Amino acid sequence: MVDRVLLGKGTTARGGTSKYGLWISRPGKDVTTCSDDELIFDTDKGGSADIKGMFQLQTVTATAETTTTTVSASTTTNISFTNFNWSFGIIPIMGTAAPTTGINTGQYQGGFTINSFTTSSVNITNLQTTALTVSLSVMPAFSANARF
Amino acid sequence: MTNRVLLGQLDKAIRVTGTGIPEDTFVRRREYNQISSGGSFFVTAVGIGLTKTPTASPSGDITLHFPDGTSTFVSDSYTSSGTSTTSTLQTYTGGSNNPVIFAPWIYLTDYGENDFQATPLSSSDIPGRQPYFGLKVSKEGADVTTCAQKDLLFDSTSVRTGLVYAGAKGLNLGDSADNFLTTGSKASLGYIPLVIAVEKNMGNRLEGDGSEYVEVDEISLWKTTTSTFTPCTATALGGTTTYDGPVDGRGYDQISSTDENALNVSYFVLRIPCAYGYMTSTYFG
Repeated sequence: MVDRVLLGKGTTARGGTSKYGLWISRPGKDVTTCSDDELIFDTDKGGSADIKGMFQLQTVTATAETTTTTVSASTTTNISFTNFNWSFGIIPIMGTAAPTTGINTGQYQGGFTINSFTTSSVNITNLQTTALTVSLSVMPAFSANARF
Repeated sequence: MTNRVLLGQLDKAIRVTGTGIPEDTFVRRREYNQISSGGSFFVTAVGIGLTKTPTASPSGDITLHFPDGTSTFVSDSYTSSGTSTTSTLQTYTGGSNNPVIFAPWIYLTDYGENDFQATPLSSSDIPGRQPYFGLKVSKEGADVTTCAQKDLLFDSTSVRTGLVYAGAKGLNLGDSADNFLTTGSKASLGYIPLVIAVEKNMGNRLEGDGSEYVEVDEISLWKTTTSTFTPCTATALGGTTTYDGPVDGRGYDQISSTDENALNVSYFVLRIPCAYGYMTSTYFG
Protein backbone atom coordinates (compact mmCIF):
# COMPACT_ATOMS: atom_id res chain seq x y z
CA MET A 1 0.00 0.00 0.00
CA VAL A 2 1.42 3.39 -0.95
CA ASP A 3 1.15 6.69 0.91
CA ARG A 4 -1.64 8.72 -0.73
CA VAL A 5 -2.25 11.67 1.58
CA LEU A 6 0.48 14.01 2.83
CA LEU A 7 -0.65 16.61 5.35
CA GLY A 8 1.93 18.88 6.94
CA LYS A 9 5.61 19.09 6.00
CA GLY A 10 6.50 18.60 2.34
CA THR A 11 9.11 16.36 0.76
CA THR A 12 11.71 17.06 -1.91
CA ALA A 13 9.20 16.14 -4.60
CA ARG A 14 6.64 18.45 -3.02
CA GLY A 15 8.89 21.49 -2.99
CA GLY A 16 11.08 20.75 0.03
CA THR A 17 10.72 20.30 3.77
CA SER A 18 10.20 24.02 4.28
CA LYS A 19 6.81 23.71 2.54
CA TYR A 20 3.67 22.80 4.47
CA GLY A 21 0.35 21.85 2.98
CA LEU A 22 -1.89 19.05 1.77
CA TRP A 23 -1.07 16.81 -1.19
CA ILE A 24 -3.01 13.80 -2.47
CA SER A 25 -1.76 11.43 -5.13
CA ARG A 26 -3.88 9.40 -7.51
CA PRO A 27 -4.47 5.73 -6.57
CA GLY A 28 -1.29 3.65 -6.68
CA LYS A 29 1.10 6.63 -6.61
CA ASP A 30 3.27 7.51 -3.61
CA VAL A 31 2.42 11.10 -2.65
CA THR A 32 5.88 11.69 -1.18
CA THR A 33 7.76 10.95 -4.40
CA CYS A 34 5.37 11.08 -7.37
CA SER A 35 5.41 13.75 -10.07
CA ASP A 36 3.16 16.82 -9.87
CA ASP A 37 1.09 15.37 -12.71
CA GLU A 38 0.28 12.37 -10.53
CA LEU A 39 -1.33 14.54 -7.85
CA ILE A 40 -5.10 14.98 -7.66
CA PHE A 41 -4.81 17.67 -4.99
CA ASP A 42 -1.81 19.94 -4.98
CA THR A 43 -0.75 22.62 -2.52
CA ASP A 44 1.41 24.39 -5.07
CA LYS A 45 4.99 25.51 -4.48
CA GLY A 46 4.12 29.15 -4.99
CA GLY A 47 5.83 29.41 -8.37
CA SER A 48 4.34 31.21 -11.36
CA ALA A 49 4.18 27.92 -13.27
CA ASP A 50 2.23 26.07 -10.60
CA ILE A 51 -1.41 25.10 -10.21
CA LYS A 52 -3.78 28.07 -10.00
CA GLY A 53 -6.76 26.46 -8.34
CA MET A 54 -9.39 23.76 -8.56
CA PHE A 55 -12.02 23.70 -11.28
CA GLN A 56 -15.01 23.69 -8.96
CA LEU A 57 -18.24 25.42 -9.80
CA GLN A 58 -19.31 28.24 -7.54
CA THR A 59 -22.63 28.14 -5.72
CA VAL A 60 -24.63 31.26 -6.52
CA THR A 61 -28.25 32.24 -6.24
CA ALA A 62 -29.81 32.79 -9.65
CA THR A 63 -32.73 35.09 -10.35
CA ALA A 64 -34.99 32.19 -11.20
CA GLU A 65 -33.40 29.86 -8.64
CA THR A 66 -32.77 27.36 -11.44
CA THR A 67 -29.81 26.23 -13.47
CA THR A 68 -31.43 27.11 -16.79
CA THR A 69 -32.88 30.34 -18.05
CA THR A 70 -35.10 31.09 -21.04
CA VAL A 71 -34.23 34.10 -23.19
CA SER A 72 -36.90 35.44 -25.55
CA ALA A 73 -36.35 35.52 -29.34
CA SER A 74 -33.91 38.17 -30.62
CA THR A 75 -33.51 39.66 -27.17
CA THR A 76 -30.60 40.95 -25.11
CA THR A 77 -30.93 40.42 -21.38
CA ASN A 78 -29.08 40.07 -18.10
CA ILE A 79 -29.03 36.74 -16.29
CA SER A 80 -28.54 37.81 -12.71
CA PHE A 81 -27.23 36.00 -9.67
CA THR A 82 -26.11 36.89 -6.17
CA ASN A 83 -23.85 35.59 -3.40
CA PHE A 84 -20.66 35.90 -5.38
CA ASN A 85 -17.79 37.60 -3.58
CA TRP A 86 -14.71 36.68 -5.61
CA SER A 87 -12.75 39.85 -6.25
CA PHE A 88 -11.19 38.56 -9.50
CA GLY A 89 -14.65 38.19 -10.99
CA ILE A 90 -16.30 35.31 -12.77
CA ILE A 91 -16.11 33.26 -15.91
CA PRO A 92 -19.52 31.95 -17.02
CA ILE A 93 -19.76 28.50 -18.58
CA MET A 94 -22.85 28.47 -20.80
CA GLY A 95 -24.48 26.22 -23.33
CA THR A 96 -27.72 25.23 -24.96
CA ALA A 97 -29.48 21.93 -25.14
CA ALA A 98 -29.53 19.74 -28.25
CA PRO A 99 -32.74 18.02 -29.35
CA THR A 100 -33.01 14.35 -28.50
CA THR A 101 -35.69 13.59 -31.10
CA GLY A 102 -36.46 14.60 -34.69
CA ILE A 103 -34.22 15.34 -37.66
CA ASN A 104 -32.08 17.76 -35.65
CA THR A 105 -31.20 15.24 -32.94
CA GLY A 106 -27.81 16.01 -31.44
CA GLN A 107 -27.45 19.38 -33.18
CA TYR A 108 -27.11 22.59 -31.24
CA GLN A 109 -30.14 24.75 -31.89
CA GLY A 110 -29.32 27.95 -30.08
CA GLY A 111 -27.14 30.77 -31.32
CA PHE A 112 -26.18 33.48 -28.87
CA THR A 113 -23.49 35.92 -27.83
CA ILE A 114 -22.10 36.47 -24.35
CA ASN A 115 -21.64 40.23 -24.41
CA SER A 116 -20.26 40.86 -20.95
CA PHE A 117 -20.29 39.56 -17.42
CA THR A 118 -19.83 40.91 -13.91
CA THR A 119 -19.89 39.37 -10.45
CA SER A 120 -23.68 39.63 -10.46
CA SER A 121 -24.85 39.03 -14.03
CA VAL A 122 -24.14 37.76 -17.54
CA ASN A 123 -25.40 39.82 -20.46
CA ILE A 124 -26.38 37.66 -23.42
CA THR A 125 -28.17 38.10 -26.75
CA ASN A 126 -30.36 35.41 -28.27
CA LEU A 127 -29.66 35.50 -32.03
CA GLN A 128 -32.49 33.13 -32.88
CA THR A 129 -36.07 33.96 -33.80
CA THR A 130 -37.30 31.51 -31.21
CA ALA A 131 -36.88 31.47 -27.43
CA LEU A 132 -33.61 30.00 -26.19
CA THR A 133 -32.98 27.97 -23.06
CA VAL A 134 -29.43 28.30 -21.79
CA SER A 135 -27.65 26.54 -18.95
CA LEU A 136 -25.31 28.58 -16.80
CA SER A 137 -22.53 27.71 -14.41
CA VAL A 138 -20.20 30.19 -12.78
CA MET A 139 -16.49 29.73 -12.22
CA PRO A 140 -14.35 32.13 -10.23
CA ALA A 141 -11.54 33.80 -12.16
CA PHE A 142 -8.18 33.04 -10.58
CA SER A 143 -6.31 36.22 -11.37
CA ALA A 144 -6.74 39.86 -12.18
CA ASN A 145 -4.39 39.31 -15.13
CA ALA A 146 -5.58 38.38 -18.62
CA ARG A 147 -3.57 35.14 -18.41
CA PHE A 148 -2.66 33.06 -15.39
CA MET B 1 -24.51 19.39 11.60
CA THR B 2 -23.31 16.66 9.24
CA ASN B 3 -19.88 15.10 8.85
CA ARG B 4 -18.27 16.75 5.82
CA VAL B 5 -14.60 15.68 5.87
CA LEU B 6 -13.38 12.07 6.01
CA LEU B 7 -9.61 11.61 6.27
CA GLY B 8 -8.04 8.18 6.68
CA GLN B 9 -9.59 4.79 5.94
CA LEU B 10 -12.48 5.37 3.56
CA ASP B 11 -14.21 1.99 3.61
CA LYS B 12 -15.22 -0.14 6.50
CA ALA B 13 -13.11 -3.30 6.69
CA ILE B 14 -12.44 -6.22 9.01
CA ARG B 15 -8.74 -6.48 9.86
CA VAL B 16 -7.12 -9.87 10.48
CA THR B 17 -4.10 -10.31 12.74
CA GLY B 18 -2.13 -13.31 13.95
CA THR B 19 1.22 -15.05 13.60
CA GLY B 20 2.04 -15.43 9.91
CA ILE B 21 -0.56 -12.84 8.84
CA PRO B 22 1.01 -9.81 7.10
CA GLU B 23 0.33 -6.31 8.35
CA ASP B 24 -2.79 -4.65 6.89
CA THR B 25 -4.54 -7.88 5.97
CA PHE B 26 -8.32 -7.64 5.66
CA VAL B 27 -11.29 -9.90 5.00
CA ARG B 28 -12.16 -9.80 1.29
CA ARG B 29 -14.88 -12.48 1.38
CA ARG B 30 -16.82 -14.58 3.89
CA GLU B 31 -18.97 -17.70 3.61
CA TYR B 32 -20.83 -19.13 6.59
CA ASN B 33 -21.28 -22.81 7.26
CA GLN B 34 -24.77 -23.42 8.67
CA ILE B 35 -27.00 -26.24 9.85
CA SER B 36 -30.78 -26.37 9.84
CA SER B 37 -32.63 -27.10 13.06
CA GLY B 38 -36.35 -26.66 13.72
CA GLY B 39 -36.81 -24.67 10.54
CA SER B 40 -34.04 -22.19 11.29
CA PHE B 41 -30.43 -21.99 10.21
CA PHE B 42 -27.57 -21.67 12.67
CA VAL B 43 -23.99 -20.70 11.93
CA THR B 44 -21.43 -23.37 12.84
CA ALA B 45 -18.29 -21.96 11.22
CA VAL B 46 -17.11 -19.27 8.80
CA GLY B 47 -14.57 -19.26 6.00
CA ILE B 48 -12.85 -15.96 5.23
CA GLY B 49 -10.80 -14.92 2.22
CA LEU B 50 -7.80 -12.70 3.01
CA THR B 51 -6.42 -9.75 1.06
CA LYS B 52 -2.82 -10.96 1.59
CA THR B 53 -1.14 -14.36 1.55
CA PRO B 54 0.36 -15.36 4.93
CA THR B 55 4.13 -15.27 5.12
CA ALA B 56 4.02 -18.52 7.13
CA SER B 57 1.24 -20.91 8.06
CA PRO B 58 -0.86 -19.07 10.66
CA SER B 59 -0.43 -20.33 14.20
CA GLY B 60 -1.74 -19.36 17.62
CA ASP B 61 -4.73 -17.03 17.93
CA ILE B 62 -6.28 -15.44 14.87
CA THR B 63 -8.10 -12.17 15.67
CA LEU B 64 -10.75 -10.39 13.62
CA HIS B 65 -10.96 -6.64 14.38
CA PHE B 66 -14.34 -5.15 13.44
CA PRO B 67 -14.88 -1.60 12.06
CA ASP B 68 -16.42 -0.24 15.25
CA GLY B 69 -12.87 -0.22 16.64
CA THR B 70 -13.67 -2.26 19.74
CA SER B 71 -15.31 -5.56 18.75
CA THR B 72 -13.10 -8.56 18.09
CA PHE B 73 -13.43 -12.29 17.54
CA VAL B 74 -10.50 -14.50 18.59
CA SER B 75 -10.14 -17.99 17.19
CA ASP B 76 -7.77 -20.76 18.21
CA SER B 77 -9.50 -23.48 16.20
CA TYR B 78 -9.07 -23.11 12.46
CA THR B 79 -7.54 -24.43 9.28
CA SER B 80 -5.95 -22.30 6.57
CA SER B 81 -4.47 -22.27 3.10
CA GLY B 82 -1.10 -21.59 4.75
CA THR B 83 1.25 -20.02 2.25
CA SER B 84 -0.45 -21.67 -0.72
CA THR B 85 -1.74 -19.47 -3.51
CA THR B 86 -3.80 -22.20 -5.17
CA SER B 87 -5.63 -23.92 -2.33
CA THR B 88 -9.45 -23.66 -2.30
CA LEU B 89 -12.00 -23.95 0.48
CA GLN B 90 -15.59 -25.18 0.18
CA THR B 91 -17.27 -24.22 3.42
CA TYR B 92 -20.06 -26.79 3.29
CA THR B 93 -20.75 -29.94 1.34
CA GLY B 94 -23.74 -31.34 -0.48
CA GLY B 95 -23.61 -29.85 -3.95
CA SER B 96 -21.20 -28.91 -6.69
CA ASN B 97 -22.47 -25.33 -6.80
CA ASN B 98 -21.56 -24.44 -3.25
CA PRO B 99 -19.33 -21.36 -2.97
CA VAL B 100 -15.59 -21.80 -3.06
CA ILE B 101 -13.08 -19.44 -1.48
CA PHE B 102 -9.76 -19.23 -3.26
CA ALA B 103 -6.48 -18.84 -1.37
CA PRO B 104 -5.54 -17.20 0.86
CA TRP B 105 -8.26 -18.30 3.29
CA ILE B 106 -8.84 -19.26 6.93
CA TYR B 107 -11.67 -21.51 8.10
CA LEU B 108 -12.74 -20.56 11.64
CA THR B 109 -14.39 -23.69 13.03
CA ASP B 110 -15.11 -22.16 16.44
CA TYR B 111 -17.20 -19.28 15.04
CA GLY B 112 -20.75 -20.31 16.03
CA GLU B 113 -24.22 -18.81 16.12
CA ASN B 114 -23.57 -16.80 19.29
CA ASP B 115 -20.46 -15.31 17.68
CA PHE B 116 -22.49 -14.51 14.57
CA GLN B 117 -25.06 -12.69 16.70
CA ALA B 118 -22.37 -10.70 18.54
CA THR B 119 -19.90 -10.01 15.73
CA PRO B 120 -21.43 -10.68 12.29
CA LEU B 121 -19.16 -10.33 9.27
CA SER B 122 -21.47 -7.91 7.46
CA SER B 123 -21.05 -7.67 3.70
CA SER B 124 -21.00 -3.84 4.03
CA ASP B 125 -17.82 -4.22 6.08
CA ILE B 126 -16.08 -6.25 3.38
CA PRO B 127 -14.89 -4.10 0.45
CA GLY B 128 -13.64 -7.19 -1.44
CA ARG B 129 -10.13 -5.80 -1.73
CA GLN B 130 -7.64 -3.76 0.24
CA PRO B 131 -9.65 -0.88 1.78
CA TYR B 132 -8.94 2.60 0.51
CA PHE B 133 -7.29 5.32 2.54
CA GLY B 134 -7.63 8.92 1.47
CA LEU B 135 -9.75 12.04 1.76
CA LYS B 136 -13.38 12.76 0.94
CA VAL B 137 -15.18 16.09 1.32
CA SER B 138 -18.95 16.30 0.89
CA LYS B 139 -21.23 19.10 -0.21
CA GLU B 140 -23.06 21.17 2.36
CA GLY B 141 -25.78 19.09 4.00
CA ALA B 142 -24.43 15.72 2.82
CA ASP B 143 -22.90 13.28 5.32
CA VAL B 144 -19.52 12.29 3.89
CA THR B 145 -19.63 8.88 5.60
CA THR B 146 -22.84 7.82 3.85
CA CYS B 147 -23.55 10.11 0.89
CA ALA B 148 -23.47 9.15 -2.78
CA GLN B 149 -20.43 10.00 -4.89
CA LYS B 150 -22.41 12.74 -6.66
CA ASP B 151 -22.63 14.60 -3.35
CA LEU B 152 -18.85 14.82 -2.91
CA LEU B 153 -16.80 17.95 -3.55
CA PHE B 154 -13.55 15.98 -3.47
CA ASP B 155 -12.89 12.24 -3.66
CA SER B 156 -9.35 10.88 -3.53
CA THR B 157 -10.43 7.65 -5.23
CA SER B 158 -10.55 9.70 -8.46
CA VAL B 159 -7.56 9.36 -10.78
CA ARG B 160 -7.80 12.93 -12.08
CA THR B 161 -9.30 16.14 -10.75
CA GLY B 162 -9.81 19.60 -12.19
CA LEU B 163 -6.50 21.17 -11.21
CA VAL B 164 -6.22 24.39 -13.19
CA TYR B 165 -2.76 24.58 -14.74
CA ALA B 166 -3.27 27.73 -16.80
CA GLY B 167 -5.97 29.95 -18.18
CA ALA B 168 -7.07 33.31 -19.49
CA LYS B 169 -9.91 35.79 -19.25
CA GLY B 170 -11.28 38.32 -21.72
CA LEU B 171 -8.88 37.75 -24.64
CA ASN B 172 -9.70 39.09 -28.12
CA LEU B 173 -7.87 36.52 -30.23
CA GLY B 174 -9.67 37.01 -33.55
CA ASP B 175 -8.28 34.16 -35.65
CA SER B 176 -5.04 33.72 -33.68
CA ALA B 177 -3.75 30.99 -31.39
CA ASP B 178 -2.95 31.60 -27.73
CA ASN B 179 0.04 29.97 -26.04
CA PHE B 180 -1.10 28.95 -22.57
CA LEU B 181 2.43 28.05 -21.41
CA THR B 182 3.83 31.56 -21.86
CA THR B 183 2.65 33.08 -18.58
CA GLY B 184 4.96 31.90 -15.81
CA SER B 185 7.08 29.99 -18.35
CA LYS B 186 5.10 26.85 -17.62
CA ALA B 187 6.55 23.49 -18.60
CA SER B 188 4.67 21.44 -21.15
CA LEU B 189 2.54 18.80 -19.46
CA GLY B 190 3.72 16.25 -22.00
CA TYR B 191 0.21 15.69 -23.31
CA ILE B 192 -2.65 17.65 -24.84
CA PRO B 193 -4.74 18.83 -21.87
CA LEU B 194 -8.47 19.30 -21.45
CA VAL B 195 -9.38 22.96 -22.02
CA ILE B 196 -12.77 24.40 -21.10
CA ALA B 197 -13.59 27.69 -22.82
CA VAL B 198 -16.27 30.29 -23.24
CA GLU B 199 -16.31 33.23 -25.68
CA LYS B 200 -18.65 35.88 -27.06
CA ASN B 201 -19.77 33.92 -30.12
CA MET B 202 -21.47 30.72 -29.03
CA GLY B 203 -23.80 28.17 -30.57
CA ASN B 204 -25.50 28.01 -33.94
CA ARG B 205 -24.91 30.40 -36.88
CA LEU B 206 -27.00 30.52 -40.06
CA GLU B 207 -25.96 33.29 -42.45
CA GLY B 208 -25.81 33.92 -46.18
CA ASP B 209 -25.20 36.47 -48.93
CA GLY B 210 -28.61 36.10 -50.58
CA SER B 211 -27.70 33.27 -52.90
CA GLU B 212 -25.65 30.97 -50.69
CA TYR B 213 -26.06 30.09 -47.03
CA VAL B 214 -23.95 28.29 -44.46
CA GLU B 215 -25.13 26.79 -41.17
CA VAL B 216 -22.73 25.86 -38.40
CA ASP B 217 -24.01 23.98 -35.36
CA GLU B 218 -21.31 25.35 -33.06
CA ILE B 219 -19.25 28.38 -34.01
CA SER B 220 -17.05 28.03 -30.90
CA LEU B 221 -14.73 25.38 -32.34
CA TRP B 222 -11.17 25.08 -31.00
CA LYS B 223 -7.97 23.11 -31.57
CA THR B 224 -5.72 22.26 -28.63
CA THR B 225 -2.06 21.25 -28.74
CA THR B 226 0.40 20.72 -25.89
CA SER B 227 0.98 24.47 -25.79
CA THR B 228 -1.63 26.35 -27.81
CA PHE B 229 -5.38 26.94 -28.02
CA THR B 230 -6.56 28.01 -31.49
CA PRO B 231 -9.98 29.06 -32.86
CA CYS B 232 -10.92 26.88 -35.83
CA THR B 233 -13.17 26.59 -38.86
CA ALA B 234 -14.95 23.32 -39.48
CA THR B 235 -14.48 21.84 -42.96
CA ALA B 236 -16.33 19.21 -44.96
CA LEU B 237 -14.88 16.44 -47.11
CA GLY B 238 -15.59 17.04 -50.77
CA GLY B 239 -15.08 14.48 -53.57
CA THR B 240 -12.03 12.29 -53.13
CA THR B 241 -9.94 14.97 -51.47
CA THR B 242 -8.03 13.87 -48.40
CA TYR B 243 -9.65 15.33 -45.31
CA ASP B 244 -7.24 17.54 -43.39
CA GLY B 245 -9.49 18.40 -40.47
CA PRO B 246 -10.49 21.83 -39.14
CA VAL B 247 -8.61 24.90 -40.40
CA ASP B 248 -6.92 27.32 -37.98
CA GLY B 249 -8.73 30.64 -37.56
CA ARG B 250 -12.40 31.36 -38.19
CA GLY B 251 -13.17 31.85 -41.88
CA TYR B 252 -16.66 30.79 -42.90
CA ASP B 253 -17.35 32.54 -46.24
CA GLN B 254 -20.91 33.64 -45.49
CA ILE B 255 -20.46 34.52 -41.80
CA SER B 256 -19.22 37.97 -40.82
CA SER B 257 -16.09 38.33 -38.72
CA THR B 258 -18.13 39.96 -35.97
CA ASP B 259 -20.28 36.86 -35.70
CA GLU B 260 -17.49 34.28 -35.85
CA ASN B 261 -14.22 35.68 -34.46
CA ALA B 262 -12.84 34.57 -31.11
CA LEU B 263 -13.71 37.56 -28.91
CA ASN B 264 -13.80 37.94 -25.12
CA VAL B 265 -12.33 34.46 -24.75
CA SER B 266 -11.89 32.87 -21.32
CA TYR B 267 -10.51 29.41 -20.80
CA PHE B 268 -9.19 26.98 -18.20
CA VAL B 269 -6.41 24.49 -18.95
CA LEU B 270 -6.94 21.48 -16.70
CA ARG B 271 -4.19 19.03 -15.75
CA ILE B 272 -6.16 16.22 -17.41
CA PRO B 273 -5.00 14.48 -20.62
CA CYS B 274 -7.56 14.75 -23.42
CA ALA B 275 -6.14 13.36 -26.65
CA TYR B 276 -5.82 10.13 -28.59
CA GLY B 277 -2.94 8.08 -27.21
CA TYR B 278 -3.06 9.68 -23.77
CA MET B 279 -6.32 8.29 -22.44
CA THR B 280 -4.44 5.28 -21.11
CA SER B 281 -3.50 3.74 -17.79
CA THR B 282 -0.16 5.54 -17.99
CA TYR B 283 -1.97 8.82 -17.44
CA PHE B 284 -5.13 7.59 -15.72
CA GLY B 285 -3.90 4.46 -13.91
